[in-house]
Amino acid sequence: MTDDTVTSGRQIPGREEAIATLFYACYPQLVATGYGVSGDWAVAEELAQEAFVRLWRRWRWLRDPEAAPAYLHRTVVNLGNSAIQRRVLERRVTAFRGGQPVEAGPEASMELQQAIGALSPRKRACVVLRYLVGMTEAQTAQALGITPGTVKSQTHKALRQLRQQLAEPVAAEHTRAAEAEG
Amino acid sequence: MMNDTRFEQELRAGLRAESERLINVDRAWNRFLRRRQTTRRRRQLAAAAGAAAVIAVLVPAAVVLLGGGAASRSGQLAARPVPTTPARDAVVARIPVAGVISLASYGSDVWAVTDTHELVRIDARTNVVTLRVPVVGLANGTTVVAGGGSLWLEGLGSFGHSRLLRIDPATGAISARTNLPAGCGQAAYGLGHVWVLCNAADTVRVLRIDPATALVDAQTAALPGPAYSLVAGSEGVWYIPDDAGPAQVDPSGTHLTGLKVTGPRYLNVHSPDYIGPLGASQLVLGDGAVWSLAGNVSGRPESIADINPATGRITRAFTYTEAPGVNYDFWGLYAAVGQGSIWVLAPLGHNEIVRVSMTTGKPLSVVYPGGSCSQYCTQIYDAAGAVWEPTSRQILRIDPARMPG
Repeated sequence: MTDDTVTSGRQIPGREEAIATLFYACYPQLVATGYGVSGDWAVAEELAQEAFVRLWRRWRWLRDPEAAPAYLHRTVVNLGNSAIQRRVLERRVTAFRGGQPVEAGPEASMELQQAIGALSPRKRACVVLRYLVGMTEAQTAQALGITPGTVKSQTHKALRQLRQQLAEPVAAEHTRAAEAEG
Repeated sequence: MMNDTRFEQELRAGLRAESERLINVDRAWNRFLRRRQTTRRRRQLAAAAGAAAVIAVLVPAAVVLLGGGAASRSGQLAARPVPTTPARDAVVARIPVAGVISLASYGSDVWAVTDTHELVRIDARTNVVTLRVPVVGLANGTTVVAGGGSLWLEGLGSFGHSRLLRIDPATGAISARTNLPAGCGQAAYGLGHVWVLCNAADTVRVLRIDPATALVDAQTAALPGPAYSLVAGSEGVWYIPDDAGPAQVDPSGTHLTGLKVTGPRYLNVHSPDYIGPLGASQLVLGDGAVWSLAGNVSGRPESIADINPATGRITRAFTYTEAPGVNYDFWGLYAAVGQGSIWVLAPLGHNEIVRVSMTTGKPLSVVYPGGSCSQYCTQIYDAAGAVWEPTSRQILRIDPARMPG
């Protein structure tokens, strides 16, 4: 019996290969999307994992396989936006970590993480989908279920907020660099 | 100061560096394979055991059964905003209790628990705070539940375990502590017992607790899970397992009733049209019915279905009709049922509360109470004959009599 066998015993041709291809193509983007809506990389991985498990289960009902990436993104966004589901996922993350803290990043990335984390969920999602996932405004709007105009305004406000929050450390870094050179 | 282009480039580079450092796709793929196998075994076991937990999801598909409008095959509702009466003086009290995370009524009092782990009692006759007591060992995001002569809160046990705290409503003091497995929460009171959901990785159990002894006196076998919503009341005990529709727990607390939710037109999770992760995102009990709320399904606006708790039959269902100028967007549906109406919170605008007809699904009146929450306000309650909306700094009390219905 292969993994292409579902509970009913029926084969689903091509599912294994298609899911694997999708996984390697989309997983980092999905995690990034999850980070956008959750503000936590570990929870983001849970969201992406959950989305793929659901896709795998429902593969045979997927009318258009090319819609799979959109389905995955939508699943991550919807799961991440549900406070109750987030709580369940966070518990799962805690169990998965085995009580170990998340690996700490360099100081600069921690500052960026904090600044991104301080954004409202919608602003964060817009920024991450636009600048990390690389989606266009239209794609971001479709993924989040909002209008392109909202994407534009939320991104603009988010950038302004990020610029303000990151301005001081960046300025200090430039000063240190100038001093070192001089 | 950097210009936008340079800032955006640095932001992009910073985010990419961060994600590349943290994401290991090979390791993630292996984890996915393990999870998938676990899921498959669980589902086979569930099928073999004849578990009847997978029930159709309640999404009214193409037709608004009672007064809603028409929905196109592609999914978007062709609904026009319905004129709605503004109720300018419906907020009758602004009670200075900040950071409320849950609220419940008990007798003539309303009880709230805050994010600083404080239990607050409000006299619903006078809107005056009559007691504030800190509770040590509360779980973050606990709900407060009233029933069986006590209040109930979710606490933290040792070694990651959960705990249920029984509170004396006269003093606010803890009168009993019940240790529960890790992952337990979502307490609710109904049919003379307290009920909690206990989530494991992919399964869930429902535990029944005797309020007199505060001990677990019944529990179900491991059911397909996880589950995100548990409600209990005179309409029975219901929860929503992941990937399925609402399931009803037998009053004995040992098994599901097997009641199948049926309706004239709805989508289920296996329909090709279904793209949302959950069919029903929330259950609300009220006025003798189980209300199943679903949002974001196939691009359709939020949907509400009324299930007869005795037969499982969907007796009313409608796709939510928008009120003009009210921004619902995609964040889901937050609603309470009572006073003969459905009360919907629209958190993206000005925390509007819309009174919706139970029989037609049409918005009747709207109040713009103002206030804000740290992100979005998501709580609305029907308690003690009023509608309550906690915001960051206060609890708003809305008088239903002042909202045309």
